[in-house]
Amino acid sequence: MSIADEQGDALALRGIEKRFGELVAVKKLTLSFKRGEVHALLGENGAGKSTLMNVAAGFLTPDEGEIEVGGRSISFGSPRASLAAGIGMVHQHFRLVEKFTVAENLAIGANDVGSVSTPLQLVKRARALAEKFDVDIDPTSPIWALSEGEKQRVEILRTLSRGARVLILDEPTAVLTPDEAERLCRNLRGMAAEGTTVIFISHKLNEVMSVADRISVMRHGALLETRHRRDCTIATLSKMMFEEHEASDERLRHQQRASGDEVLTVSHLSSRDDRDVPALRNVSFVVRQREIVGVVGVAGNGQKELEQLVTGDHRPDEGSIAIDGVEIHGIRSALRAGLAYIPEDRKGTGLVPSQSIWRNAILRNYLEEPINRRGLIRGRHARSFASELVARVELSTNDTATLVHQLSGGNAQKLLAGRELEQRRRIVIAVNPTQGLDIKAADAVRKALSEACDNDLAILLISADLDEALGLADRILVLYEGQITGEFTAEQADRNHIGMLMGGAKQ
Amino acid sequence: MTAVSPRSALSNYTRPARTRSSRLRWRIERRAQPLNLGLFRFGAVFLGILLSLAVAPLFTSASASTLYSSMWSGTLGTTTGLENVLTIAIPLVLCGLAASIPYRLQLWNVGIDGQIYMGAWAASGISYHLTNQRSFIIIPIMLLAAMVAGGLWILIPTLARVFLGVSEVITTFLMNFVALGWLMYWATGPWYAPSAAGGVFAIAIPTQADLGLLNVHNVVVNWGILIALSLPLVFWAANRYSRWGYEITMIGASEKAGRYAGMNVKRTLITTMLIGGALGGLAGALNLMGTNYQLTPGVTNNTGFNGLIIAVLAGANEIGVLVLGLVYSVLLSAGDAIQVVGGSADMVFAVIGVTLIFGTFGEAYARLHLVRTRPPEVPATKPVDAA
Repeated sequence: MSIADEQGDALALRGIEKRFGELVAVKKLTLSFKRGEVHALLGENGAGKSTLMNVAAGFLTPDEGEIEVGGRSISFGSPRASLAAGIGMVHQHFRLVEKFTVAENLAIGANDVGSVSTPLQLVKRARALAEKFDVDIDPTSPIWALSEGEKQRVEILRTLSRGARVLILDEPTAVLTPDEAERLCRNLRGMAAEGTTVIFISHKLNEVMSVADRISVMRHGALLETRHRRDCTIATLSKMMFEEHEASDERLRHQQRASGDEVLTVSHLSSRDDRDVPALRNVSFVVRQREIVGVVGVAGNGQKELEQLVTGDHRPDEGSIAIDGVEIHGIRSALRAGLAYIPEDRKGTGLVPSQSIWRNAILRNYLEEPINRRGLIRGRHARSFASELVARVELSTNDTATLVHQLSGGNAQKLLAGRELEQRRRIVIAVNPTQGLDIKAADAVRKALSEACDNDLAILLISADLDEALGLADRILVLYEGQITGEFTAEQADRNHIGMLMGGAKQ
Repeated sequence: MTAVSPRSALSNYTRPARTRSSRLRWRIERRAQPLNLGLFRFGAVFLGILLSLAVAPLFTSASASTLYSSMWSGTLGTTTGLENVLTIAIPLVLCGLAASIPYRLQLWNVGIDGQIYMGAWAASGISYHLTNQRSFIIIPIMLLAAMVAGGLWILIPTLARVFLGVSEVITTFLMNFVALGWLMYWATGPWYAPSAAGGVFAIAIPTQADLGLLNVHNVVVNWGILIALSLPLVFWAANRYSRWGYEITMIGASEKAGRYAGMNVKRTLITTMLIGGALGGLAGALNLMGTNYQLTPGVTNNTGFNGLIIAVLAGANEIGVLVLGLVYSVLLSAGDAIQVVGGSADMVFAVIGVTLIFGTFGEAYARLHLVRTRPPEVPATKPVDAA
């Protein structure tokens, strides 16, 4: 290691490996960050970006490897120790006390605050800090009254005020409005110009290209490459991020089916999210019988809102959703129209873990004859219905009194998918249906979806896994910032092109 | 037993300290398969009662034999004792239900005493206007009025909880004091009845509003006992076999799943709370019409909170509420009886506290267990990495 290197590197990670049980989240990764640069860490969901940075900031202890700050090796231990070494991290979910003021939050854990301080002293201190680090914030305001962008500024100011020379931001723009995001990027450039190292985790290509000096791309826990921005284009980056890896060759290949009538008609859908920020803008598409339509996109681009709207859980601000031409308004009318729904949260939303298999089996049709008659749930009919379902999906147990939390993830998903994928239904909404399952269970679920489609159901697959969507879907829709930015048939679908659109490149 | 480091080690600071994790130690772990929760909770409650009985003589001036014989004759040993037990059981079982039915949805009805006051108040008010009516008209109307009043009393906390997310624990509890103030106003003002004995009493309700008496083998109790014995069975069956029962079972276990299934979660939360309130009101009316015969702050007799304890210990199982309601009635009657021989009235509260603690531990034991762990030995040499 040369002397120049020592002076240039603000933070160096060497041979870091982090495992969670069987899963290797970060594999023997070596990466260094220069003083005064904005360094973007790019990668798909689950690529290991956040894990790596949590290791660097002391929130996680690595299984192997070492961290050097300014050429000196530091020991792993706690966020406090890392902060003392000058590494601070701002998480996606803020760690602020909502009921306290900005000044009070800045004082928590600070070394230069006495054990007895008046509110006025704290406000003065906060003002001085805000001026020193050039952050625009009202110290007297309580946290709960602030916007997400302002909360983030408090977090950044708090981290900097503890002496952080390396500032790590985990997907900082995910919670911000476009204006706030732009402002943040300007501020980050300013900080870098004054010598702070900014590490910026993102999966938005445009943003990365506009703010970063250097860009590192991670995939499946490994570092692919680090490049200067001038050596990158959106196309090369998206190719690196999303390029197909060999292992997925044996995935289910979809076959062309003769699709039938329109089942789900989504027209001109617009909606705001919990923060009152537009989440979906004028989204229109149809799903036909015997057709799987895959909606792909990086998490947080409106998938959740789309899911809530098409299942009737939320009402759209504008636009409408119809099943077989009948407009749906609410969960119950969607159910009546023939909606089946495989939610991502299977043990909690789709299934009730603390209850028996038979009670879970009838969750969708407990109001129908013969299970329900004159307000009574008839156990005999309910249990025989459950037994049939259990036999059909080949569950590991045939005792319908077994509690669902005793089932493995794969068996739980079999039960859920088996309950939903019924002939009588018209449209299936499946959200990340194979997430967290082992390969065998995942294949079984994919096969079930494919067969259901052959049996005349229409399927809308909302997936964060591009490979899965490409393997299953007849058509692919790309969702970016609440808009459909691309539509492809299975033949036209090109990974690189889709990857670029997912990252926000213009078509 | 854990090994204690030899004293000499203390002087040797350079020696690497034995870290906590390398030592043999006890750890609490969740059982993969919980034991029978109900059985352990009930068993622990009865164990608590037995233990309390065993140590009770140490805390009284009376001899053990006088104490036990007064307990026996004050509860199950004599006709009067049995009558006392059953009379106390009526409001206690109803209050247990008033708490346990919302508890199935993880909702806390801490306002049962208030609902008792309001139920008794409404029943009194109605009775004053129906003095010319016969029993079979006046009694049903009074009971109905009491249930409506109890339901209305929990309505505001319920709506605040369902639509604004305000904790019902605090609101239902505070409504108790509002109800007490309301009752005091009526009992000392418009309905005031001068009493020679002192204390706050309203005008007595008409005699045809008194509950009739049942005589079974010379044990005489008002027929409110039939309500107290049958309602738990009715609700138990409803929970097990009805659509409503299925919905509250599933929503109670996961609100999100209830929504997913198309259930009207808010409506279910509201109706269930209102049923709890109505049962509290009913308990108030039965106390008024079977025991007190006139509106007074003593109409609750602390049954609201005892009902809450019963509901928790019964794990919201209605049959459990019935059984524990009867057991606690015996305890409370015994508490009355021992005062005659010099025992303290507070002893019974202590015993109830002990049973609550025991019951909680019993449940914890059914869910958790202690395991002795020793972490795997660290190998002396690290295996060489295949770099």
